[in-house]
Amino acid sequence: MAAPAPRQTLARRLAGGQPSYRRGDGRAAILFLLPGFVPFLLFTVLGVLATAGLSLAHWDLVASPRWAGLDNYKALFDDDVFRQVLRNTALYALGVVPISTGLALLAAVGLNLRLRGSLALRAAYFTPYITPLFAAALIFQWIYDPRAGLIDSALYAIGVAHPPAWLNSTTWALPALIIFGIWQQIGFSIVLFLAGLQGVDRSVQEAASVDGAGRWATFRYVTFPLISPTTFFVAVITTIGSFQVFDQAYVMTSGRFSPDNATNTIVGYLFQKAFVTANTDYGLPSAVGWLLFLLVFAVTMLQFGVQRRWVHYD
Amino acid sequence: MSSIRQERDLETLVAQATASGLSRGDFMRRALALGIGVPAIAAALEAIEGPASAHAATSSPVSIAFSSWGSLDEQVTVNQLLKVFQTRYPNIQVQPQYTSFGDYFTKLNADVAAKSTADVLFLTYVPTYAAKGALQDIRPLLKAHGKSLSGYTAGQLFLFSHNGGVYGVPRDNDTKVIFYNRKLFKAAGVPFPAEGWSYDDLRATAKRLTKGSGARISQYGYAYETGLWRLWLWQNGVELFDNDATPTKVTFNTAAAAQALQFFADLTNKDQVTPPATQMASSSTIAPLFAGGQLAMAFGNHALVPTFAKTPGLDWFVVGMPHFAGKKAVNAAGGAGYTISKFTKQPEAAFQLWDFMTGTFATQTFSAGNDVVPLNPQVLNSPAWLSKPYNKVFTAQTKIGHRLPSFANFFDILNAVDAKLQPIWIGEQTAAQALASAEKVATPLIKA
Repeated sequence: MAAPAPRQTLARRLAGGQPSYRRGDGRAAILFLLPGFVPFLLFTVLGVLATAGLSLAHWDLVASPRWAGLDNYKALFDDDVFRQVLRNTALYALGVVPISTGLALLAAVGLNLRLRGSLALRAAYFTPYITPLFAAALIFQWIYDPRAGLIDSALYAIGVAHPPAWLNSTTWALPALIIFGIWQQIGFSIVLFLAGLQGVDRSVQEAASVDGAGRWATFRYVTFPLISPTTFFVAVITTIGSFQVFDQAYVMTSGRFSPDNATNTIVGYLFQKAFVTANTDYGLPSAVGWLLFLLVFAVTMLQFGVQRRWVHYD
Repeated sequence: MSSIRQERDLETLVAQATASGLSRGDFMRRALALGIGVPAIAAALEAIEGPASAHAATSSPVSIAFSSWGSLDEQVTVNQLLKVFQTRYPNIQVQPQYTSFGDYFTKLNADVAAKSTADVLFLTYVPTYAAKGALQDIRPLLKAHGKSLSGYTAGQLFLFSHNGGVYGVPRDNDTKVIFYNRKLFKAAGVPFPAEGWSYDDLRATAKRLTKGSGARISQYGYAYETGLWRLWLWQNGVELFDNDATPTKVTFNTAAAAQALQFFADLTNKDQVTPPATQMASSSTIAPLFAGGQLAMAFGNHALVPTFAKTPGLDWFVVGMPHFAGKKAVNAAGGAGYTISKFTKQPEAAFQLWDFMTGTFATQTFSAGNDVVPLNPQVLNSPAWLSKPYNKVFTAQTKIGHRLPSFANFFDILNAVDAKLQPIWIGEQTAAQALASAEKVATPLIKA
């Protein structure tokens, strides 16, 4: 008796160039997706949707939620500290996104020349990204120390009489945070840019050279447009990450976002209102979460709108 | 071994451990060496604390959680105490949950939000959590077990009371002292600070013990915790509110308050005898400087003793709080204690653990250790406790303790005011300016 033909897996069929899907494959796909999708639905989607409702209510976790309409949103914009953290977060993003993206592009172009020591430099640039944030932030706390820190000691040594007090100054605390953010972000962006640069067809660059274009012109009019999708991607993810900044400020200021909220951000404010404040109204931090989402969404949409003018996918 | 003999041995052991400077881990190890193992200690508790609860002894196995902050030394003691407890109550498994003080309340707030806290909690800011419905009034529980709060004064229970209920009992006193490094004093030819000294004395001493200037300071004279500003106000005769339990207005925006806070700000910004504010955020940032010999005098409490005692070559002692000119010295009073969660699913087991942790054996074991100032006046004045010379200073300082205000919003007001006072410590605002801002943020919170 002939043995029944073994059922072919989807992978085998695809490898064999057969039609991609058969009846029943969709059901199998759903079954494979369920273990990940169900927890995502329960613990993320439902949670997020619940906060939308909560943002329109007052709820202390004990009594039933009370309808508040837009009171929580109004309360936020009436709060000086919230306006301050909005400003801080925007300034942080404005500092970190362009500078880290520009520096990363510059470093990636240099590394792509494959000069001697490039490999070691690549590892050095990437190290901050994989250094545990808690440890790095503690080290930066000491680097920024105005009495014994590395930076101010160097500035004193070269004759600067009044160097910045960094985390001990309402003026310099946010720049200190921005510098740390750039240091931390740059390695990841370099890797993305390197991947983009290595994907550029060299023959196009060579053709430009043959036509008489110098190095700058080749980069400006050939290489940069060709890696513009990478630049756009880096800008978008760095922007989103910048709006979510929180932990470095928390560690560097021992959880106080000092001085006087100079290092506090939208997520820091949300954290304080949700978990540090003892008499919590969970409507307020929910409203903060949704405002943050709307802000990030609006900025990302703006980036997508503008990208048509400068990003080339061909 | 008879129970009377075991009781005597336990008491002797506590005294020996205190006199010989044993850590609590060593204390437990010595107990084992003397033949008073965990089961024997648990058995001896019959004589010390009465029989184990019949209900707990016969119930089916249950598991409960106990949450606390504390140093590693303190955790060793708690773990050992929990072992003794579990031997006494074999049906009750206890899971300890340790979190640093800095993160403790953040985690607790999240746990309260989820209505899933530990069953028994080591806690401060008790009225805040009682008001949230997270804690059990312990009086009905005590009554149901034929017990009472008769051993505690109303003053001791103040920090654990809310709206007529009592939600726990204190374990220790949060007494502050100033640790000083004798080696650095001798090297600088500066006499050791003496009891009854003033803040002017402290400033002069700190100046003499500070080495270097600008970004080249290699040794600081003094370090204080910037978050303990309330103590400086009390020391200059200023109260925070018009009433400690039911405040209607803040009373800290005064010239005397500004004078007290400005004194500390000037130590940092004018005299430059302290580390910058970021290094004085808490005792955990101050302690390494003192242990490393980079700081001559450090403000702190008894929790720092085990660390300093174990630091090789560190020759230290303590002195009491200085006073402002024309004012009396004031210290902090009251401390954290044990509470029972309202969300516990094992109320009987939770009560037994709470009862054990607040009982004689646990209290004596803690006092034999090094990092708490006991609450009980008898223990506080016992020869065993006072056999360590520095403990005499702690005991004396408890007599000038000023109690904390205690109401539901106090924790939030402290945080809001603390943020507004931060510009003082970095020299960007005068104390008077910052106090005016602080009053503005605190007033609506009182009315909330």
